[in-house]
Amino acid sequence: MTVDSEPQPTSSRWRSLTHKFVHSLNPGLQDHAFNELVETIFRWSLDIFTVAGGVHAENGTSLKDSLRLRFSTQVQRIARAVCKLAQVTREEIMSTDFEVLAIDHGGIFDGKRMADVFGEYGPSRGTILCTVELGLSAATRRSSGEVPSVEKEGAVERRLLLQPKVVLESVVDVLYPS
Amino acid sequence: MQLGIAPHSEFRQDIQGYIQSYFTTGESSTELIALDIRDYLTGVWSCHTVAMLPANLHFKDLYDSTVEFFTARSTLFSFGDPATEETDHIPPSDLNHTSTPEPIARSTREYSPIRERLGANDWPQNHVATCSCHPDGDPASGLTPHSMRRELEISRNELARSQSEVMKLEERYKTLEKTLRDTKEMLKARDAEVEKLRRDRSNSDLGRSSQDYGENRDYRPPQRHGIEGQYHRRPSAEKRRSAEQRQSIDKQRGESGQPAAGSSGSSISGDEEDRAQQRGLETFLTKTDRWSGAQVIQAVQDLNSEVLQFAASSTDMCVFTSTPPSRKKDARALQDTTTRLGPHITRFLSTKDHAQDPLLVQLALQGCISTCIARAMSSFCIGLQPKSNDLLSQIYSHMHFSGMP
Repeated sequence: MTVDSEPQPTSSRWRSLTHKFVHSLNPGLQDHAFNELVETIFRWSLDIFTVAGGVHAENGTSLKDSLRLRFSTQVQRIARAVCKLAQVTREEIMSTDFEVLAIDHGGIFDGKRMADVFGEYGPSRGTILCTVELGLSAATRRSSGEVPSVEKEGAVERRLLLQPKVVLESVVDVLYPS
Repeated sequence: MQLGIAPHSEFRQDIQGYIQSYFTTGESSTELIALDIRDYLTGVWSCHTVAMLPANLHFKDLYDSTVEFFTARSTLFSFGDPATEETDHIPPSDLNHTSTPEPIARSTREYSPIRERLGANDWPQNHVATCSCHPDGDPASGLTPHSMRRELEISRNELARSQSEVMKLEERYKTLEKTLRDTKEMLKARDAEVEKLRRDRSNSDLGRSSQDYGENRDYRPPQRHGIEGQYHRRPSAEKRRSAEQRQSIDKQRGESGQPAAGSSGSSISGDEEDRAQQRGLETFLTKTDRWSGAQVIQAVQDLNSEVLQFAASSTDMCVFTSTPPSRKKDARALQDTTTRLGPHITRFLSTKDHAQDPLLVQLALQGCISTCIARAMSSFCIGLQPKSNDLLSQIYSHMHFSGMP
């Protein structure tokens, strides 16, 4: 038996309540999420430095220690902002469904959906290397009367509010001209 | 009335008496009275002497106005054309005449030069005063027949004019009053409208404040007609709602049993129930987001700049070896980074020289942190174990989207 999907306010309401109750059932969930985020950022950054040939910090201490020492506050700030944004978009915003966007590596560049960071330095070429800046989209469930372009009842209207910024393979041409 | 000499005040009294009788008497007798008055006046003239001339000027005025007045009303009273040429004085004996038409006419003619002469301050010396007239030493009361008549005319005209003005003003006053009443009524109606709109607007602004309850309670009549009725009487929630929400609410109400419908009970429990239901409905139906879309966009942009700052400063802090062969080969790190960022950029990271310009490293850092954040935010609840997260995400997408995975 298939159940019909719900209108926007109903699904938003469910999302909000569920998110709240999950947290109330798991009181330590918030802190756990925060810590996990901080750790992940440090771990991934260190790996990149290692791969790129970074050996130590300026003053000679290991990269690992230096990172934690100098950038704890900053990384924590990032993690807290992410948790807050997640909470707001899940619990507080009923009118639509916000989604933070990052384009997967290896994808094809699409000027309508993303921006090339080095686009003005040279022609865009190749696949996407990575997303350097996050984008934002909003998905709203519409009933047929509201939006003229919506044909059937219950279609979802997606709007790109912020374009994610990507670097393509052509960045190598810019950075390392041969 | 006796003809004869009279002092000034007595003359005035006499004239007033004549005028009174003239007006109160019947039409047939007016002519006779006019004649009496005329005879009286001629007698008055005969009393005047040169010595009394200064005072007599007032007499003259009074005399003139009286003569004019009665001339206008009675033909027999006419003293004739003032432009006659006779300049000789008339002996007093001629002045006392009977009331036959012909001699009257003659005497009228004869008197006119006297009037003229008197107007020119010329009184014949030979005019014998058989009697002495004591002039009334009161010039201020100045009532000669002529002036009295004129004044009477003037007063009448003024009276008539004032009366018509009064009527006009009365009419104008009535219309103005009516207009004022109408305007007041219109103003009252407009005030009521403005008040209603203001209340509605303040209701929607207040959101979920308790003031809402109070106001809404006032709107509701004593007996409740169920949710439907209540729903319509809550303008705050209504204003914020879009058409689709209203539809969904209708559907909801149709499906669920209406708990509050038709249960009046005691007033206390009824109110509590109302309050609870209102709270539920309001929280459910509130479409006002805590953050606006612009605020969310700003938050994402701030996040991006924080990530950039961290990536730039940490890359600056790091010291890179230039020669690839001497780099420690960390297989695990390589593997993990490939998983996270993909093979291309990992290859660039490991093969290129970043000692001079570590920009690529910075970009890679930005990329990996952005990916981390996006992945975290894509789960239904950050930090929750994957199984639960997956289930909840599935439920949500099924609910929100058209049921397609």
